[in-house]
Amino acid sequence: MKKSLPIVVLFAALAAGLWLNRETPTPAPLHSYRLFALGTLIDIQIAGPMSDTRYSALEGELIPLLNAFETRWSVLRDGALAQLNRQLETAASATFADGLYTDLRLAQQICRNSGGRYDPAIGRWIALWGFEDEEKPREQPPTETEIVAARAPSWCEAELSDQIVTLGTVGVRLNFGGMAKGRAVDLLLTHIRNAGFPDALVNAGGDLQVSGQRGERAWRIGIRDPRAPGEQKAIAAISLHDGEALFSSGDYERFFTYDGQRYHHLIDPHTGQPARRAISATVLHTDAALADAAATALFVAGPEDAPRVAADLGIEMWMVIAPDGTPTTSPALEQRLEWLDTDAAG
Amino acid sequence: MRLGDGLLLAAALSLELFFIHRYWAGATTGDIAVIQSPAGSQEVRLDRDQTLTVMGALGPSILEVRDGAIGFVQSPCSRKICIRSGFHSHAGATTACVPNRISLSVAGMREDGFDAIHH
Repeated sequence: MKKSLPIVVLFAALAAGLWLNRETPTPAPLHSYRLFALGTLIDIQIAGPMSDTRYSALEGELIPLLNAFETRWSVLRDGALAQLNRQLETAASATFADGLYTDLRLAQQICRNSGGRYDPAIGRWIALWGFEDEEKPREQPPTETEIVAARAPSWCEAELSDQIVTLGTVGVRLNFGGMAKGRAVDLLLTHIRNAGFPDALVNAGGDLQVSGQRGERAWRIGIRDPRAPGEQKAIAAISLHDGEALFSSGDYERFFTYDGQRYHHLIDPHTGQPARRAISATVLHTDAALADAAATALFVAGPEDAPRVAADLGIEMWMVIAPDGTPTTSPALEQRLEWLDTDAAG
Repeated sequence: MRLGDGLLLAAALSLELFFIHRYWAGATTGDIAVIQSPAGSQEVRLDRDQTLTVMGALGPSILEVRDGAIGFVQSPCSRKICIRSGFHSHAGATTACVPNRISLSVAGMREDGFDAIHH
C-alpha cells in the first residue's frame, strides 16, 4: 500500500487537473448593439453567427425603428401622442393617429384591471413633479394646491373608439411612459427574430425580454438589489425562456431628495403623490408591455394588495419589495428564483 | 521514501501546478473598458490611471481611470446618475450618461455568469 501511494497521488493530481481544465460548452458567438432611446440605454445581445455586413444592416434597421417608435409615444417630440395631447389641452375629445388604438385600449384594460393603479392620464402630475423631462428636474415637491389643480379624470373612464377618445374634461395630458418601454422592447425583439436571429436579449435600462436561448442554455439574468443601485451585485438569479420579459418599477430609478425625503417618479394615480407602499415591484410575463405597466401597478399597490391586483391583471409571476426591504413573491415566481443573498429571501 | 517515490510526487505536484495555472489563466479579467459616444467607440486600458474627456450630445463628460476602475467624474446631465453609479472594474459592468449619449462598459464576460442584470 505504501509503495502505491505516490502512484495514487499522481493519478489523483492528473484527474483533478483534467477536471479543472475540462471542456465546457463554448458559448455561442455574441453580437451586441448599444442604443440610446426612451431616456435609457438599450443593450441588445444576439447569439449565433452573423456576418459583419448583416450586423451593420441590422443596426441600420433597428435605429430608425426605435426612433419612429419614440417619436410616436414621446410627450416631448412632435409625434402622434404629442399631437393628441395638444388637442386635449383645449378639448375633452380628440382624434388620434392610426397605430395608437391597440395600445390605448391595452392601457385602459390595465388601468381598469388594476383598480386605476396604472393610469396614463396622470401626465400633468408627472410633469408637475418634474419627471416628464429628464433635463428639467424639480428640487422640491409641488404644493398640495398645485397637485389638486393638476388632477385629471382617469383613463379607466375614457370613451375610446377607433380614432376618437373622449375624457371628462379638458386639459388631460397622457403619458405612456409606464408601458412604452415594454412595447419598444417587444418591437425590437420581434424585428430581430423576423430578421432571422431567433436568439436575442433586449435590455432597456435593466428591463428586458429574451427570445430563444444563449447557445446551449437559457438566458441567465441576475436581479439587482434595489437599495444598491451603484453596484452590480445581484440578490437573485433567474433563467428566462423564449419570449419571457422581466420588468421592474422602483423608487431608485428617477427621484430627487428634499428635506431628507426621497420623491420618486412612480406617482400614485389616486393621490398625486409618489407611492410609498413599496420600493420595487417586478413582473415576469410574455407580454412585455403588460409586464411593464403591471410592475407600476403592483408598485403602487404594495405588498398587501399585490396578490389581488396581480390576479386581476392575470399576472402569475411577481415580486414586491416593501420599504423595509422584505420581498413578497408569488409562488409561481418563487419557484423560478434562486436567491443569492439569504438575508433578502422571504 | 525512495528516490523514485520522491520523483513521482514531484511530477504529480508539477502537473497539478500546471493545471492550476492553466485554469486561472483562462479566467476573465476586466482590464479594458469600452466607451461609446456619438463620435464612436474607444477602448481604454484600466491598468494605467488617466483622465479622459469624451464629447457627448450635451457637452464634455470627464471619465477617470483610477486603481483599475473607471467611472464618470463630471458630466453635463442634470441628475448625475452616471457619477453616482461610481467606479467599475468588474467585467460586464456597465453605466451610462444617457442624456449625453455616453456609455462605458468593462470588457469581458461577467464573472458571475449572468447575461444581464435586471433592475
